[in-house]
Amino acid sequence: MDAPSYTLSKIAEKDNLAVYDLFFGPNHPGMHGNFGYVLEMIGTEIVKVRPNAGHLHRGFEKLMEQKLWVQNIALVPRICVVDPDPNEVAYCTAIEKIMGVEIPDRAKFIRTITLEMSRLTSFLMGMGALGAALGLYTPMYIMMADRDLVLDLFEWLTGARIYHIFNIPGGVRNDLPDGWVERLNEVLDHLERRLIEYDKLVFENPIIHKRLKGLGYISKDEAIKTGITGPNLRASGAAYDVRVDDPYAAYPYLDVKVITQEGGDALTRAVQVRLEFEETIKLIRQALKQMPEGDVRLNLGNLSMLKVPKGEAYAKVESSKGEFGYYVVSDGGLKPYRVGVRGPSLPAGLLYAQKHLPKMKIDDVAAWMASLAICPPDIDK
Amino acid sequence: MTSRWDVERFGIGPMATPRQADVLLVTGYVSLKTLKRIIRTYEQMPEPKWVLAFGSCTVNGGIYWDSYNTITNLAEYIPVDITVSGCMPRPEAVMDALQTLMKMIQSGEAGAYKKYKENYEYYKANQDRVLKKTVPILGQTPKNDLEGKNEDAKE
Amino acid sequence: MKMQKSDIINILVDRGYSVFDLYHNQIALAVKKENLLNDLIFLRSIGFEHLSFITAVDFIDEGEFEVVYHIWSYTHKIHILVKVRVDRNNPVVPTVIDLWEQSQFYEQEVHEFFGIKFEGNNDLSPLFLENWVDIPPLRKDFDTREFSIRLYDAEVDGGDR
Repeated sequence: MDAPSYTLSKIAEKDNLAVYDLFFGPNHPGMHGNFGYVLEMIGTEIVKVRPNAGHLHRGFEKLMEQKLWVQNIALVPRICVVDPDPNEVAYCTAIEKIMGVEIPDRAKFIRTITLEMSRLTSFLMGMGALGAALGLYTPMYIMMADRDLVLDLFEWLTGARIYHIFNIPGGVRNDLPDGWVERLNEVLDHLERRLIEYDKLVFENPIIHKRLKGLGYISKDEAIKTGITGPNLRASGAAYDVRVDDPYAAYPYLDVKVITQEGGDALTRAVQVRLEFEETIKLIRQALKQMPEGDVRLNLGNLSMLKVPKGEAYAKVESSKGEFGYYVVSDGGLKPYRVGVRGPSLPAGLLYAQKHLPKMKIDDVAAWMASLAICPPDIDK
Repeated sequence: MTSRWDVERFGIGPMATPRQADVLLVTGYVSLKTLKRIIRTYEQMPEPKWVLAFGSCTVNGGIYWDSYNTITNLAEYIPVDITVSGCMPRPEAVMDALQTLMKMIQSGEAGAYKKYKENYEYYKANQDRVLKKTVPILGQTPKNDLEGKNEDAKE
Repeated sequence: MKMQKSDIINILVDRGYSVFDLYHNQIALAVKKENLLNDLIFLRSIGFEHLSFITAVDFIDEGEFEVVYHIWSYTHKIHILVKVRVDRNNPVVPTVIDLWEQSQFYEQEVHEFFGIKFEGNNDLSPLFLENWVDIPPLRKDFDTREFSIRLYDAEVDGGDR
């Protein structure tokens, strides 16, 4: 790496004991997730970065080749902890593409509603983590309490709070119970009222503005070239969204507004999450109004003996962090031949760490990670 | 574990460093890189210390039992006092386990940390077997495989 | 300006590629590894600028690896799977880090799990696994259940613990 352009580096050239290694690793209170960076530092400024990934590697791609098609749906949501539904939907969409079937309309709308609810929980945790990384702990506690209200709705519908295992090839497992839609409307009203408090605590806070302004700037061309997707790309000025470009589930019938901002730094990305939060609530209300009656799953026979014909497909969905993609190869048998997973945090977590972190001070690393929504499990798989 | 199921009312709170902590919570599966850090953290804690293991993955491997990077039985590497089953366990089960641990400590039953010192060779042998591998486990060496010869030397 | 899928297929067939039409917005291309860089530069020039990821598939019965590059165009809204086949006993592919910087990490991952070498990439050190002495784990002749039973004392279906 080139020598950094500040005077401390002159000291380092003569005295090689001035550079020390700091393990900003899994054991550090500022790191969220089980992930590590080995930082070479002079004083409090960073000189060089080496990522230390692999603490969460479980070998999913190998495990998925050993289990039946429908058993993998229990493995797939565990790849991302905060936002597990896009994984199930992408896996099932890839299978449905290879088989050439289309799911019933009511199933499409239920899939859309659960995807957007999962996006709400992920945004709540993301905004809370951003505050906690800077020392502001109150919004984290309030947002986790609100997140529990949405998780209770998931438990009523699917039986589990976090890993739902609700989507199957051909639709969803069961229909909405009685009274669920009314409770969902109550929770959405409550969240809309809470937005005023979140604004006062987090987004109009002068300390947050001062600390995040100008941090980690990514320009529009650079973002497209290096594979950044999702809210981070839209905060740099590019109006691209998988729900509009390559629609799946019920998005062809809904009116999705693509929000972009100019700015590209950490403050713009934080405000982007806030704006998309409001838009998500409106999308859920739209979907509830337009939901048709009908079946919720196709009859594909006994799913444990499902045989997918020979072929391959790549399906992607828009999760709260970016583009989540699944590449499925089938050889006509009872188990997949190869499943490849594309996680949205890899360009930000591994490449931009080597571009942005040198010349930054150690105090800003945690805030930088939270603003780019780097979630270690989908780097490691 | 925060505002809705408050644990601070029992006198339990998170600590930033293992040197000041009493209880180590191992939540979920443990991969090899994480196992190295867990052992170091455990040895840095001052005595008396206790270990609480969550989830089925620490008992018999759980859903990742056939993975090449996760261990299947945490009790072979560090001594465990209480295990909570489930995938993932509910918050009420976790709090019940913490209260049972407090009762066990008062009655003197929880003494697993003494076992670590008495049987140190057993634990160290298991840790080295898993972390410091020198011979291929399945008998296939990488260089030979890339050149096309597949010598399956199974013992 | 936006081209339809049929226009893109015509352009590619005119240049001599073998094109497979998969779905309404996905096509697959089979290329040779000697022309790989030129093909990707050409595709980038007609608007395919987003590299999703790089992965590989092990066809052990045919004795070949297949490296797949997933690229997407924001203007035409078409996804292309660019596939390259290499010999399983000596897999070498040219690197694309000059075109897309993030491919440094995708190539490191594919090297660690399959053993494929990427010429021109200076840093192919292990990223995820530490102290790994067996064959690359995602190959089809690596039995992960046997490995887990031997090293970690795993018991099939949980055993009696």
